Parts: sequence; C-alpha cells; structure tokens
Amino acid sequence: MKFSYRPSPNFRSKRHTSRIMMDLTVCLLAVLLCSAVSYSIIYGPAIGIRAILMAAVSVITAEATEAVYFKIRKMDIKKELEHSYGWVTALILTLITRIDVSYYALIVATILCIIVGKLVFGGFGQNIFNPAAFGEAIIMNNFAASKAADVTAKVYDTLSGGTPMAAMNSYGWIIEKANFPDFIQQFGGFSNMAMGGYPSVIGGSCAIVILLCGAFLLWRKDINYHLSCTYLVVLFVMSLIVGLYHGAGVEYALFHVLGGGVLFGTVFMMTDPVTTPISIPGRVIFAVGCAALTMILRWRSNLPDGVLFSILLMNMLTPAIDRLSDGNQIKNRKLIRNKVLGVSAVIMLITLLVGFFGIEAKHPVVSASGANTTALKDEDFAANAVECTAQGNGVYLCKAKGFEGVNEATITVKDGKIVGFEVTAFHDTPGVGDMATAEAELTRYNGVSLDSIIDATSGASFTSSSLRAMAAAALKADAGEPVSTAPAAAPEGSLGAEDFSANEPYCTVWTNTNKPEYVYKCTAKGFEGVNKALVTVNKDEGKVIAIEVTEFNDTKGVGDAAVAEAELARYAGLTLDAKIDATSGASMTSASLRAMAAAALNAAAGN
Amino acid sequence: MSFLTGPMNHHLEGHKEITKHADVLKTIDPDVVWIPLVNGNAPCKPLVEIGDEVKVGTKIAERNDHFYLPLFSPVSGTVTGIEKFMTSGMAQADHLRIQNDHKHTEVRAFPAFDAEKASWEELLEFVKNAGMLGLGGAGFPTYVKYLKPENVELFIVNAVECEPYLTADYKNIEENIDLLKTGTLALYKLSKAKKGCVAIKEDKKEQIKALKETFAGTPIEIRTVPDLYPMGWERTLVFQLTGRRYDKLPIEAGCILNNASTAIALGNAIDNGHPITHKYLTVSGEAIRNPQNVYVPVGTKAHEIIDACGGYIDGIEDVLLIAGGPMMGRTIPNDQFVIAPQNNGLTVLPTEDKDEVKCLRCGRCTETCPSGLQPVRIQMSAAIFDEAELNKLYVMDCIECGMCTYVCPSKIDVTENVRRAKNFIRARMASRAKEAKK
Repeated sequence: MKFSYRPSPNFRSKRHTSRIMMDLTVCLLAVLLCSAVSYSIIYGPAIGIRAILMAAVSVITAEATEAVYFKIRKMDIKKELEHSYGWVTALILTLITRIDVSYYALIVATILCIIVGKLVFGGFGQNIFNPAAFGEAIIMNNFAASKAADVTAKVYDTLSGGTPMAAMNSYGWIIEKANFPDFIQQFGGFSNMAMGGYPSVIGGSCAIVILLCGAFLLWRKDINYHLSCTYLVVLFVMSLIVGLYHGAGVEYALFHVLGGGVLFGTVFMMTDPVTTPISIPGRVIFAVGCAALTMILRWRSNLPDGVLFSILLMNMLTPAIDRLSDGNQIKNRKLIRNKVLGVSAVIMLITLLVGFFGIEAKHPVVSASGANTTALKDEDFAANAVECTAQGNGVYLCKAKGFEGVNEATITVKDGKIVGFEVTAFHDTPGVGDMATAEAELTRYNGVSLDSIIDATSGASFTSSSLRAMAAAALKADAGEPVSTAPAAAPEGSLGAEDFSANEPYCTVWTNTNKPEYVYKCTAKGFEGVNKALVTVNKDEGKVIAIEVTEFNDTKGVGDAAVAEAELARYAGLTLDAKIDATSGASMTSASLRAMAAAALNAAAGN
Repeated sequence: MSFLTGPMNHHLEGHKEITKHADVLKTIDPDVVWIPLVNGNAPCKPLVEIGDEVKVGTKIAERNDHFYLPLFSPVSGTVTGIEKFMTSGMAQADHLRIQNDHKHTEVRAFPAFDAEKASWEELLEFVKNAGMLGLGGAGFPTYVKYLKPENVELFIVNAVECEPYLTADYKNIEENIDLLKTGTLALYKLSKAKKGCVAIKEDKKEQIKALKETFAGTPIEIRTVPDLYPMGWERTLVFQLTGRRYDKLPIEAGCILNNASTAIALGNAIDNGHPITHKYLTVSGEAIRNPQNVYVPVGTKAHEIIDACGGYIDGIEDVLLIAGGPMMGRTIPNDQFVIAPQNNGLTVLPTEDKDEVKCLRCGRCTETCPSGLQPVRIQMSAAIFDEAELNKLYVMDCIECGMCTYVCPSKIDVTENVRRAKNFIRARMASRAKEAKK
C-alpha cells in the first residue's frame, strides 16, 4: 500500500472553473441564438445567419490564434486551449459588436484581443483588461468604416432617430417627463426594448434573455451578485436623481438601465472575475465607479454608449481598488466600510454634479414616427413615390413605396372622405410592417379627409407612411389635384441628368421645422466607404442651401479634397437644372456628395 | 455590514452517514501501546522506569513546565522502552512503549469526587490532576482556561463536530450522555458563567432531543447551529451564538468553550475515577472496507485500527491516510503513528489526480474565509515574497481550516500556499530576532 502525502485539506467541492466557463458559454450561446432569431424575423434570415457566422468566425479565429501562440511557446496545445477559454472571449466580443461590422474587422480585433489583451499578460487569469471589451474598443476606434454597407442600410438606417442610445443623445441625454412617452414609442415602448425589438449591438437585443442568464448564473453561483446589483442600483438611483432634477421621471432612470449595453455588460462583462477586484468591498467600489463612468460618458462624451469604456477604465484601477481593501475583513471592517462609503460618496457626488450642471435637454424633431401633428394634405410623402389611377366612381388604385417594397391599395373616396381602404399588395417586412395593415389600423382611415391628422402606426412607421401617402394621393386625385408628376427631363449635363446609381444615394427627412427648409439625412457610397451628409434644401425653390458632411469614410488626404469647406460652399444655391463640376483629384468622393445633393433635391421635388 | 464581507462559512457535504449508524468497535486491544510523551510542543517527563509494571490508570508521565498535565496508562502490563518516531502531528517525539498483558487490571487514579459539593478551588484542582485536556483536537490542558473566569457570560460545550466524515463526538455523546451531563455541569460551575449551553448542529435531530431531555431542569440550554463549516471553530461558534468577535481568546467575548468529549471525559473522571485512557475515533473514508467508530486505548498504532476495520478496499493501491478529518487533518505518509488523546478520527481516501487550472480571481476564498482574510491575495503576495503586504493582509490570522482550498474552483492548494506564507513570515521574524540579539 502506498501512502501519498498531500497537504490538507483533502476535501474539495465539485465546482470547477471549467464548469463555470461552460455555464457562461451556454448563456452566451442562448443570447446569440435569441439575437439571431429576432434579427431573422425583423430584418430577414440573411441578417440572422450573419450574427451566427460572425460568432463562428470570431471563435475560430480566437482558438486558432491561441493554438499558434501555444505552439510557438512550445506548450501543450490541447491542454492549454481547454483551460484558456478563448471561445468565451470571442463570443462576448461578437455579442458586443454591431451586426454590420465587417468580418475583416472582427478577425483583426479577435486576434488582437486574444494576444495583446490576454496572452501577453500570461494568459487566462492574468490579463488586466477585459479582453472582449478591449477587442470591441479596437473595432470602435479603428474599424468604424469597415462595415458591410448593405447590412448597415438594412438594420441601422431604417431608424429615423438611430438606436435608442443615439436618439437619447440627440435629446441631450435628458427628456422631460411629458415628452418621454413619445420618445420611447419610437422603440415600441419598454416592452419592445425588453424584448429586443430594436437594433443595438448583437447581444444587446434580448434584455429578457440576458436577465434570465444572469439569474441562472447567480443561481449556479458562477457570478457574484455584489458587483452586478450595486452597479444596477447605483446607475438607477443616480439617473433617477439627475432625471428628477431636470424634470424627467422614473422612466428616464429605467431607460438608463434597460438601454444600450448595461444589462449585457452587467451580466457578462463586469462579472468577469479576472479583471475585477477580488474582495467584496473592492467589487462594490468597482461597481460604483463603473456606474458613474457609464453615466458621465453617456452624458458628456461622443461615444455611442458608456458601458464598455467604463469597464475598461475601471479595469485599470482594479489593483489599486484591491489595495483599498487590504487588511482583515473582520478586524478592519469599520475602516474598510468607511473607505467604501467615502470613495463611493465622492464618486457619486461628482457624477451628480456632472448630471446637474453638465447636461441640457435638446428638442430634435422626430420625423415620420410617433404622434403626428400635421394634417394629411401637408405631410411630406415624397419618399413614398406614390401613384394613383382613377377607376371611376371614386375608386382609386394606388401604389406607394413602403420600407422594402411597393405596397398597393384600393381606396374608395366619396365627398372628399375615404369610405373604403383595402390593401391589395403588401411587400414590406412580415411581422413588422403588417402591424400597419391590420384591420383595426385600416379602419382608422374611414372618414378621413385631407384635413385629418393620422398618427403613424408605431413600430411600422414606413409601411404606415406608404398607406397614408396613398390615402392622401387618392383624396387629392379626387379633389382634382395632380398627384404623380413624372420628373421633367433635366437639361443635358445638369445635376438632375447625371447618373448616380453607382453611389446608391439615399435620403430621409431629418427635420422640417423651418419650412420651407428641409434637412435631409443622406448617405451615398464614395470610393471606399459610405459617406453621410445633412443636406438642407429649400423645398419651394428646389435649391440646396447648405451641405454638411457628417461622416467621411473615404481615403484621407485624397477624398477630403472634395469635402473641404470651399468645395462644399459650391453647393449653395444648386438646383437640379444647374451643372456642378466634380472636384478634381477626388472625383469619387465628389460624386457621392453630388449624388446626395441630387437625391435630396429629388426628394424635395417629390420624385 | 455583512453585505461587504460574504458569509465567512460554507456548507460542506458531511459524509457522516457512513459511520453515524454503525456500532462502535470496542474489541481492539493491542499487544503493545506507545504513549506519545508530548503535549502540544512540550515534552512530558516519564514517571516510570523501563521494566516497571503499570496498571490501567497508573500515572506514567507528566508535563510540568508552565502548564501541568499528567498522562495515565491505558493498559496494564510492563514498560519496555522509549522509542522516538513520528506522531500524528508529524513531529518526532519520544513514545513510552508498554507491553499489554491483556489483563486490564485497574488502579483507581483518583478517589471518588463530588463535584456539586466541592468548592470552586477543589474542582479546579481536580480537573488539573485528572489530566483533562482539549479532546477536540488542540490537546490544550483544560484547567488553564478556567484559572481566571471573570465576567463570563456564556459557557459553551462544543458538540458541533463540523469536520466532514467525523462522528466520534456524536457516538461518544450517544453512549455517554449522562457523563456529558456530569462533566458539563462541573465545567459550568468552574466557568462561573451566567448562562451555559451545549451547541450542536441542527441536523442531528435525534441527539438534540436526547440532549434536551437529559439537560431538562439544569441551567444548560441546548442551542442549535446551522450545518456550516467551520461552525465548530471557537470564533465562528462564539459569533454564531453571541454575535461577538474577539481578538485572541474567547474570554474577551465573555465565553469559555470546551469540547463535548472533554466534558464527557471529565464526567468519567468524576463519576468513575477514570482518567483519559481511551478514545472514540472515527475510521471512515472511501478507501476503508468497514468504516465505523472505534473505541481504542491511547497509543494504539494506526495500522492495527485499519486492520481491525477490514483494511483497505481491494484494488486501491494508493491512499491518503489522514489523522483527523479531511479538512484539517494531516496526511501521514505511513501507518505507523499512534493515536494521541486529541485525535478523533482516521480518514482514508483514495489518492486522486486533481485538475488544477489557473486562478481566475473569483474571490470565493475571500468570501468564505472564516478569519476574514483574502487567501488569493496572500497567495499572490507570497509568490513575490512581499513581506509588508503579507502583514497588511494579516496572514498570521489564518487557522488553516482548509476552506479556501475546498471552495477553489481552480483546484489550487490555496491553504498550503497560505501555510507557506506563514512559514515565510515566521522565518523572517526569527531571523530578525537573531539579528537583534547580535
């Protein structure tokens, strides 16, 4: 009989780090699957499949990178891979990435975050920064333009106000209580936000699933509730106080907690034990700091969301926070408690001061969604390209562009009022657009005249506007007004005669507060990427007033010749009939700008 | 502020049902016993010569430095020598070899004593001369705790037995509940405490009922504590029962504690005039054929007890033989050591490979450490020999309860690393003391 020696204790719990990581993996896959399914339903199966492909690409890249690294370091590849948990990093990275990020950007970010974010520090357990957050920071800072334009157009450009975070930003990060219902209605209310019915990052969609995962991980004791709960509570309380100060309600605080990456970050990133403090007092300070930074970054920085960078910034402080909780937790409990309370109080005070004096409400005009105040005859349906043909007896067959396709309806008009509205062809997104064509919605058109005000169907604003456009056109046709005018042939060589189809220009109304000035938000392909601009047009005169480039994604040093101030000044007063020369040496970028100007003018003209 | 500290305890799988209901094996009567001539770190001086005849209850040795402790012979027979070998505490010590004549001739070690009528001073003297020592594991002479019982609020008999696998106290109480009553009341009197209690884990339902019946009409309460580890440790138990923490000794929190088997031993001395000669010992674990409790003379060799329990399970070639339970007991790399009075178990486990991975800083050890330490940070500071940081982390407060290793999901020997850190600090302090002398 052999008597082995092992230092005591010789009794261990069955819990293993690998099991914790497997639980985490299962949860991450659940979130991924939910996002893929909801993307498939809302934007079509191709987008859903893309989410899964992105995750697969990132995981394969991560594992391959680690394998190569271990091979070079002459380590046991199989064993090291098993205990390095690179796939968890890759999955989290994918889930905090936007769906339109190119595979190339994702692969580079994965490689960098695995090597520079983790392996060079000594591998799993040794890294300073949350590797996934590190990878996403690389994508955000270096690959902003490396996007699949078709996916961007399909998912993100459909929202008039952008993602909830971007929309909130346009309000100056504060919304008075009275305006909040209209605002949140754009995203289908809190219930829709909770179910993930709006585009965000891939994993940011399904709040319910994330919360369920959080509950599961807490139950399995895989994550620690001190950090997550403190973070959520502090975030909620501080945004509530600041909100109340500015006249906002509880909903504002709820928006801070439900919106953006907060829930995903809380469940999957802040709970990463490797990069957060060890002791509970340390974790509480970390959570308070994260909450404060999240809010300050949201309020004052030009980042889309503050969660990611708040985690990265606090990661840097982890060793210092750990040292704050030096000592014996029993003997020094009062000292440690006072340190926690003191540090938290200072952090929260600073945050509240920033909140009180650093933010100011703005009032952007939200177009084509939510409550409507414009009479049907005055609404701008230029983008819908509506056509109506009279069939006699007040019956009109109408066609109008919706979100994806052209919808058709048979509308019966009697005495200047609609008496029948039947949708004969529906070509928008099933499950979304058809909310507007539901029977209950269509009955709203009964008795509608040109002076009526019809609200858009929330959550289906594009389809709804195609229906309203057809209603307006039918009523106008019945009143003897012209509805569809074929564009007059533009003079040779003029802006209107140029062919910009390669640039795929696209414009939506941004604001129209200063009628007849309309501001159009336009996108058009340049040389390398998609450029964006705000084009202000005098609608009555069909003239460009100003063009402002908001996003420039072409070659620096070449394309930007076309966006120089002097060049942009040339667009002032431009009409479709006028001729404008390309900027020499930057013809591609210039074409994209001209395409946007033309598109805005066309839209203003109702073409 | 429990929100900032974590539970500082943890429920462990007890594995107590293995031996809890089996009968106690009392037939072990070795031909030779070896009495360890050591108490704590102090040697005990033999009072008999080689060749002397001894009887059960003959005083054979005593510790006589700043504490006094007599040792008594557990068998009748002849003293045949003194041998030096390793104790169950992994230290080399002299052992008095006594050849057993299997006649069990007894000598009354001390006359009958009436604890109720005796004065406090007489009772203290009796406890001292009866050789009572902490049978829970420490082996500390009992009378020392009661020398100056001032402002004692609560006297506690510790029947918690939180160490996994061990049921020796349970079986001892089951068989000697009347002696427990005598001993407890005597110690309660000695403690001059305002209140007294027997603390027992809430899951031992039958025993709680029996204890309540036995102690009905006495000032001793039966208090149940949750099934958590290390509930049997003095500090955890005092905190559980009184909500108080203390710095060095439980008396600072107004408490005096003794183990239940110590109280039973005292009851045995008072009622029957028997000193501590035998021990209830749990022999358990996954590698022993017949796990059960045994009642053996002090000084019996481990391998004789293992053999009496059917030996090792066939097919197991590599075992961990642990003196005590698996949490705090030491692994002994041979089976030649003998049972000392403070031993209460032998746990035999098959040696298994462990799947150690890197620390992920999950902080479980910090949350469950009953001493309020941060084992993972101690481990990291020890790796770079950062003496100042180790002191800031109160490394010397560690009691080596084993919790940090138990909870570690990465299967790291955290307790052992902390132990090394303590040894490093001790060595530094010793070398500085040496420097100072020069």
